[in-house]
Amino acid sequence: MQNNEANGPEARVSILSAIRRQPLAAQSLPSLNQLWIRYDDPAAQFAEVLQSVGGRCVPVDDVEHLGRELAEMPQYASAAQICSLVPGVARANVDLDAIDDPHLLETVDFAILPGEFAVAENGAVWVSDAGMKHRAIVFIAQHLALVVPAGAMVSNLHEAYERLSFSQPGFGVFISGPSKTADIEQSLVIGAHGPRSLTVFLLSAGSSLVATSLCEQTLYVKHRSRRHVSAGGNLLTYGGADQTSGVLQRTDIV
Amino acid sequence: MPHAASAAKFVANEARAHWHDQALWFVRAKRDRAAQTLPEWESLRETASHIKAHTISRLADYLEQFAEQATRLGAHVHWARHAAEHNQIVLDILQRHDVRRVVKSKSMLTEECHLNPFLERHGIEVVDTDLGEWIVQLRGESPSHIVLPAIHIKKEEVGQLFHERLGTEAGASEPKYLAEAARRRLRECFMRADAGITGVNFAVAETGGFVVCTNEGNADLGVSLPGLHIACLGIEKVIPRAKDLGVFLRLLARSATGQPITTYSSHFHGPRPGGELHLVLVDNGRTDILASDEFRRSLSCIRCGACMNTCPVYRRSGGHSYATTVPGPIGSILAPARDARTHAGLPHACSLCGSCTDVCPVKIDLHHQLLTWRRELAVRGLLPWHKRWSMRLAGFVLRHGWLYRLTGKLARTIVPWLPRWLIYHRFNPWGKQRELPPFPRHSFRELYRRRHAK
Repeated sequence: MQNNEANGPEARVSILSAIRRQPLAAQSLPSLNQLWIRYDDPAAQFAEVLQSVGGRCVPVDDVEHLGRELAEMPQYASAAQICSLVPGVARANVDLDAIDDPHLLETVDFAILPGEFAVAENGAVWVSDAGMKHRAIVFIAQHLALVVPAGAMVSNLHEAYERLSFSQPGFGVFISGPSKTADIEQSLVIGAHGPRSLTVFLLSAGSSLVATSLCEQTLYVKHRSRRHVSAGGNLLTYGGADQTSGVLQRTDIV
Repeated sequence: MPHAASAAKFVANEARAHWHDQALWFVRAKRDRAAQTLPEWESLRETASHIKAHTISRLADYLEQFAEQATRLGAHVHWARHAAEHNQIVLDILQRHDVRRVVKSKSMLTEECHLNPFLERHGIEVVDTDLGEWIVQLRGESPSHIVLPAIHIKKEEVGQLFHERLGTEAGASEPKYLAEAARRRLRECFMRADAGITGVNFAVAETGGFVVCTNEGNADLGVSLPGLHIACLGIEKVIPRAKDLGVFLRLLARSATGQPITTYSSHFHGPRPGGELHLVLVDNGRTDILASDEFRRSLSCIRCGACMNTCPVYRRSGGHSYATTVPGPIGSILAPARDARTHAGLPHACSLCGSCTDVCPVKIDLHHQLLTWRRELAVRGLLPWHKRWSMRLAGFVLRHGWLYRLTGKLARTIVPWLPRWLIYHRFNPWGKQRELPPFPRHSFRELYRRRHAK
């Protein structure tokens, strides 16, 4: 630790000893085992809150259903560059793993990413960067869809933190709705810097199976090689029309 | 300029002052609705207050634990005693990486340390990427509110500013159009930046990670493109356990803007693969506040801004009238702790209505602390002469019953006959926008005695 300190250990020692000079009576840490709110129908609560923060919740039966719903979205239909880490659901043509510089993701129109679980009280979905080469994709895509197993739903944030562990380096984010700002006269504008829309697909069919297979497939896809094509001056990697590449082939698994 | 004088300027434009007042009251009302959705709201506040009190009572241990865990995760931890040290550390890191352009998300700590002008003097371009903060940066101002930095600016003024600086259409003031123009320009800044600087909402001692909350996604975009991330935090930001975040994140956005949670609550644990993460822990007067029994609880503040939104003085005087980085009730406690002489007027910019204390998510006894500050300022001899002498006079009168009775009788007899110019003049600021109530013929004491004599 010491060798990281530009100003030597003096500042640290001086701050810590200034604090320790105060003989403060120890105060106990409160228990968090309390009666926190729970919902009879968490999915309905989640959908309602998500809508109130500008997002959209779409329950789907299976991956095929998800594909049909996607196809009906104008943002998806008109998207030229699509990046997906959820196998089998999208006509993805941007391969995150084949890109070295996250700046190249700037032109991505639509991203479809796995969300680990949803929180009913605030419409948030936990997204981690495990198996995601560039976390920038979460924030830089023009539109974002998250696919969450419908069974992976907690009522409140306390339950959410029970599920999370932070022992390893990594990044995770609760996302509740699309990027927004109200900095101009408190008028809500959707699409500040990040995604202009957020759609959360709650995937129900054999949800526990889905949950595990999502992870497996992410790993699987990572190891597939993809052909490189140049698009609009940016070096991007496309699965494209070549149907032998990873993402599109995995439909049969789920 | 003292607060009262700046506030007088602000309220001179009555329509605008009213608009400002209403804009903030709207946010306060949203906060109430959000709080009412949770039956456990009061219990959450109580719990948060206790977690903070506990943390402060063992702050050194938790800071060491946080630094140790963060280092284990691969972050570089720096300590800064004051603003100058903080700025130098940040500059050194940036220069080591040959950084020319920085994108910064909202951080009141870096405002407090005046990091932007310091970096600019050393040839580094800093762009504040929170839309509100960018607007005030383009105007050459400081934020007037810690959560809503541009709450004092009208959309027509933003339209004019963007027309001049971004070439948007003249006269265009539609927020959606303006925000879109800002999005395009700031995207360019994100794409060109060599480093990202963020603040920190909560640092977790147990894990060495930290959480940054935004609605725009600007913090995340700013640190997920370049390889270098510098996060600056005051030493009071540390909390013991990851699960404590459940308590604070439930309170923060609901108290701040009435949202159930911010759009993005990002949890950083260690640097990005191949990237570099630096944490700068800053004291800058916080250990002095910790040493004071009266004001220690102000360190619990999670910077939600709820006390500002509800404060009748803040709403009607505007954030800039406080001339501090953090304005409003909490700012009026923190600023005199740093420099009592300069900010001696702020604890008086308060009607002691207690609304701030009612809404504070971590239950800081704000209005009690403001009252304590007034006493403290008197003890230190920092009251202006007219307050000092009028208080001394009032104290003398109240200590002598006969004098009090005599003064009352004289006032009741004489004042109603005095000409207006003798009552309403520049030495009676109370009467500036107010009329004295009609004087009663008899005092309460006289009425009471008469009734009992019957």
